[in-house]
Amino acid sequence: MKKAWLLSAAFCAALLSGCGLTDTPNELMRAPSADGDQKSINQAVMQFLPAGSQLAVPLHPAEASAVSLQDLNGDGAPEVVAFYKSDKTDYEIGVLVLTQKQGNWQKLTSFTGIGNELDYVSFNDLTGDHIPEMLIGLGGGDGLNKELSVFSIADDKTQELMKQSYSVMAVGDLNGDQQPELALVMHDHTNFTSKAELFGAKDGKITKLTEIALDGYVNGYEQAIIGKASPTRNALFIESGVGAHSSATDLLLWENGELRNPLAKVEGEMDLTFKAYSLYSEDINGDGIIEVGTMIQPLGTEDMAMAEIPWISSYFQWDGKTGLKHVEDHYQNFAQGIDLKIPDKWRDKYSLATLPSSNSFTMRFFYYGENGKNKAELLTLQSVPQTEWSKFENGLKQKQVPYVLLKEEGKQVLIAILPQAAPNLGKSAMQEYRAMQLTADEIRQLYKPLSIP
Amino acid sequence: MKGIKSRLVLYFGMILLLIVLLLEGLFYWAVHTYYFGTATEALETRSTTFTNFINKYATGYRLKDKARYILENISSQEYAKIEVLDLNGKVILNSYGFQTGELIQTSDVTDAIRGQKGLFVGRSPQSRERVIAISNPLTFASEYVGVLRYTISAEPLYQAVNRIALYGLSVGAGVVLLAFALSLLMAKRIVDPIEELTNAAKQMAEGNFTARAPKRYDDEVGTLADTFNYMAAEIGKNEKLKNDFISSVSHELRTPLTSIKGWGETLISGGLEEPEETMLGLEVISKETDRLIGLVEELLDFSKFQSGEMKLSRERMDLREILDDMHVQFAIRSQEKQIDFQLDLPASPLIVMGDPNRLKQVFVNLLDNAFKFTPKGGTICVAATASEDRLTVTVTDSGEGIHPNDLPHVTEKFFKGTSKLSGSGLGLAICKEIIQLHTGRFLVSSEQGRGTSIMVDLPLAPPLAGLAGSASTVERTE
Repeated sequence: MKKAWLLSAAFCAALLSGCGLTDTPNELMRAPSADGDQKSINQAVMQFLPAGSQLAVPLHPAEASAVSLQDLNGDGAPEVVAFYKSDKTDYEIGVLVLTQKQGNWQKLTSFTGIGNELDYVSFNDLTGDHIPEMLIGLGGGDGLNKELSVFSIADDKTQELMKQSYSVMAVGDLNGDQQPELALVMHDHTNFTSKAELFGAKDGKITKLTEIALDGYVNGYEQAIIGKASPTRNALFIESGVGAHSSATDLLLWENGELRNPLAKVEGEMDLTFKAYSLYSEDINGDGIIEVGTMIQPLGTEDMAMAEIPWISSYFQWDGKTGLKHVEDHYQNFAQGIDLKIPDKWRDKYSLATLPSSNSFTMRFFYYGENGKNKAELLTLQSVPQTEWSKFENGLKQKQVPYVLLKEEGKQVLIAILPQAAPNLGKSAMQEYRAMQLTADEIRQLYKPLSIP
Repeated sequence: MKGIKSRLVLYFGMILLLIVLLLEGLFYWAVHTYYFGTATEALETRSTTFTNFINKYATGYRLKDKARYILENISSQEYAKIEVLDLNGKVILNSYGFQTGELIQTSDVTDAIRGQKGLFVGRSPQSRERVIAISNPLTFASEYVGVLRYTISAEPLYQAVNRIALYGLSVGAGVVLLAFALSLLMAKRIVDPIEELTNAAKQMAEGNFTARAPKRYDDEVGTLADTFNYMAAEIGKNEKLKNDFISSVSHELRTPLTSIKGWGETLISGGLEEPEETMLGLEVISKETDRLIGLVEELLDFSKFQSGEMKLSRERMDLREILDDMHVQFAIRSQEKQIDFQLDLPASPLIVMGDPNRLKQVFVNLLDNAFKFTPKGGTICVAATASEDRLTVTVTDSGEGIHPNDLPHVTEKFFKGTSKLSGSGLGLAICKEIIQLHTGRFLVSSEQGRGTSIMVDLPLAPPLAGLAGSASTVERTE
């Protein structure tokens, strides 16, 4: 309403100037022209898509997108690869490849595959000809097996080089030849067999290099990655679900043309990589080497129910022989988005517990000496709803409670509260406790936000 | 020329330019606000609605799932660029299907990461293109997991606004130009009469008193032109009067001089042998010399009046004495001309504070005039009456009278009327001046063919309390 006079002013001006208003503001709304390439590619793709189709985004890996530019025929100019789903059927995924000819995008080829989700898309050279192939993994949905197809494009024609079912897959250089290999892990539910197969280039063709049988009695496979297991060796890390909610990791190395798990397996004992809940391998400390995660129970929680235990994620690296060496521990809370690295000086001398009285999230870390005889607060993580934060902050300031602000944004403000008064401890315990205390800067360095993967 | 015209045009133009610029600014602001406000509002509505929809129905907890859902649900008519960003500001997916991975850290994104709706209008840091961006937080459960960002280009809006502003500016320029032309025209209308007036004044200064300033309009300048013309007419009249005066005075001076010279030569050639003739000649010379002296005296008096140097030596006196003297002085002349000369005075003294010599001069003059214009057998009457504080002396004759047209001018200097009789034309003017110096009034009334009556009205001197009082008054006045 208040803009009515503005409109009339503008209109009058237009009339007075003798020229009709060219466009209304709404007609002038355009996408930024800076992404003109992307825009024109998108328009071209939309033009070639069957009517009623929609772009489909691959589930894996994280960096894959519905439309990508990739030189698939080795002519030096990138082709556009777009994935789509038509509205005619839910069980078909389409692939459209466009190439640029005389400045216009033209359809190079298109084909469809059966599947209702686009599980995996990557472009890797598996044949060794330095021209990437299309790796497209289609799936039938949750828990069902998937099928990977590898396509190459030559002379404007697509050629399916291989087709193989898989549960999880990974692409990366496993044997150290600077060429990517393809690892497929397949779990057969009905026969309780599992195997990992490795494919690579041999004489310009994709060939199965080796395969290894895995534990067939797992629930299923959740993730596979290829990365460094040590500064010099690469390995395939496969996460499997076992039991009710537990999981384990298979670490496979390339040795003499075969895959081998170097970790010792002692009969009657849990695997080294066993964990009560699932925890994927990742490079947690940023040193370029993949750490295998396990879960350990904090001290003094032996009597607690599994679900109530505040598990600590403990990360290990392969020691180069048959074992694992400890790297670091983390307190990770996905619901609250917290990752607090446990300082080395706390190791084996601390525990943690939620405060029962509080209705918002609070996690207290405390000194745990002599089997729980000596306890003293080290740090309390607390989240406060954003709406109550200023009131809460005033309260803290009034009571002169030392605290560290870890996360201000979002609906919850996260703070770390430091102990105010010196605890009542014996002399040696006090010494130990003092050594474990953290400064505000240390806390800030230990904390990082944890995002849902 | 730094004249009124240029100043007027300049001021007028400047005022108009200022107004036009001000209005133009206002106009630009209004159009800008309208265009950007409407566009932003529309974008905001779409963005917020879609974000709410996604937050409500896109159940995937992973940002990537949300992004996929968003891409699949974007309307094909969507004109904005839509991006899904993670909490670091990294682009997970845009509406073109690309995952560019670029980091966006404009204020809208940082606001949205903090959970607020963010608006950014400005240059995109990457492309330097002006954009309008609106970001909304994507939530899962109680936490913010990402940002949904709508971007449109602001360039077409700027273009439209600038185009309209340009229209406005050209209209404004037209108005200013028109105003300049109009003010030129207006200035011309104001200045032209002044210039004409100036030209007329210049001509007058050069002596051309017949020049007249034309009156264009009935305004201040018109009035000035009128006044100017009036002034020129007066100057012209005075000039004529002066010329007349010079010629008449020269004439007046020459007549006695001619007869003096004539008699002088006669006497010289006669060799003073005939005493009678010699006597007559000397008498004429003496009489003519008296006339000359009288004439010169009048001129001197007149110049005194003119320069304001005329001073009265006033004293307490009885006017009856002067009038008596007059009666005696003109008795012979009345007998010669056989004119009945009457004097009518009250019994009580007529005391005035006056200069006896000057008052005598007035009455001599008046009576001289009366005798001059009254034919044989006529009557001249001098009557004096006194009221409470004033006295009135009336000199009435039965002469030829004054033409009604001349009546208002008879007391003017150098006015001689149509009479062929000699005189400087200063007599009555001087009389009037003297009476006015005595704070009296001088009135002339006449009826042609019947006679003229001149009334002199003077204030009576206040009666004295006694001799001592009078002495002290004298002392005080000294």
